Amino acid sequence: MKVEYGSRVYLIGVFSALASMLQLFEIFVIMPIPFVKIGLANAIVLFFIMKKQYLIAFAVNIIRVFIGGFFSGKLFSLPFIFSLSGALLSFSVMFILFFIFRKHISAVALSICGAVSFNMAQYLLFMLFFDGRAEYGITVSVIAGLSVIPGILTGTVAEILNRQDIELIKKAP
Amino acid sequence: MFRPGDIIIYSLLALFIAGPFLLKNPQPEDPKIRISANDRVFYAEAGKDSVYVIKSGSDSTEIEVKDSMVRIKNSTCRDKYCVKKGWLKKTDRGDIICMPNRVIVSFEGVSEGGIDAVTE
Repeated sequence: MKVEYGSRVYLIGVFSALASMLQLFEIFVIMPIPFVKIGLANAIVLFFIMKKQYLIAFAVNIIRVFIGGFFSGKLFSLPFIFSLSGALLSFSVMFILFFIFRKHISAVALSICGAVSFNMAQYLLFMLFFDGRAEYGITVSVIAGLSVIPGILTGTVAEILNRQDIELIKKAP
Repeated sequence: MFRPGDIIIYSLLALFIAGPFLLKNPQPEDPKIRISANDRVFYAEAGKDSVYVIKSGSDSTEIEVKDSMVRIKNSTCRDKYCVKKGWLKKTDRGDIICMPNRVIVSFEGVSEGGIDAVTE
């Protein structure tokens, strides 16, 4: 399938909307493990990273945090800040890993790293806000271990998306 | 889909997750045993099994340290409450006191628990 686009703004718009909707609909998906959510919006970000459209991936990642925060009524509150910092860190980690390894890394591994770093950023900020200190202990390994599960799920979705043979072609002006 | 680079990522992640279990805090070292006799304070290592004899005049007190526990083995005092008290473990609060010989044996940092509660 070939997707032609005139400007990146269109892609950013469409996929930000899609990612926000996915993020909002996840509220209704009940996971068997508490505090774990799938994070399907990350699959879209991952898809764009693997298509080497880093700017679109970054924009989608940030915009969906804002829209998700707006519609869940948490815009500019503390959970929103945690979410934003998690999104920034997970994007940086996935981007850097993909940049270094390129063809030698699968979407699942990228996604797991993204999920772990997302939750680590949130944990760090939470501890710094409420406890004043964060230490590398059992809590960290529990959080990291739990975030592997949604990481695998999201990574599988991104892998499926990536195999669809979608080509992003920029239209000549 | 699996790619060779994943092995590095997965092993690093596994190390990160298992890290806190591997790096388990080293066992806190044995607290010192504080022996106070006639207002003079001596310290004994709880990890080293030995017998200490404290003599003052005709009184003598034998303090035995074994397996991180301490007791007064023998004493020349009259009622021998200190001997009857038996072994003091390092997790126990409190101390062994021999009043006539003026000997107090306790684990350092354990019996000095401070105030439990205050009502006003």
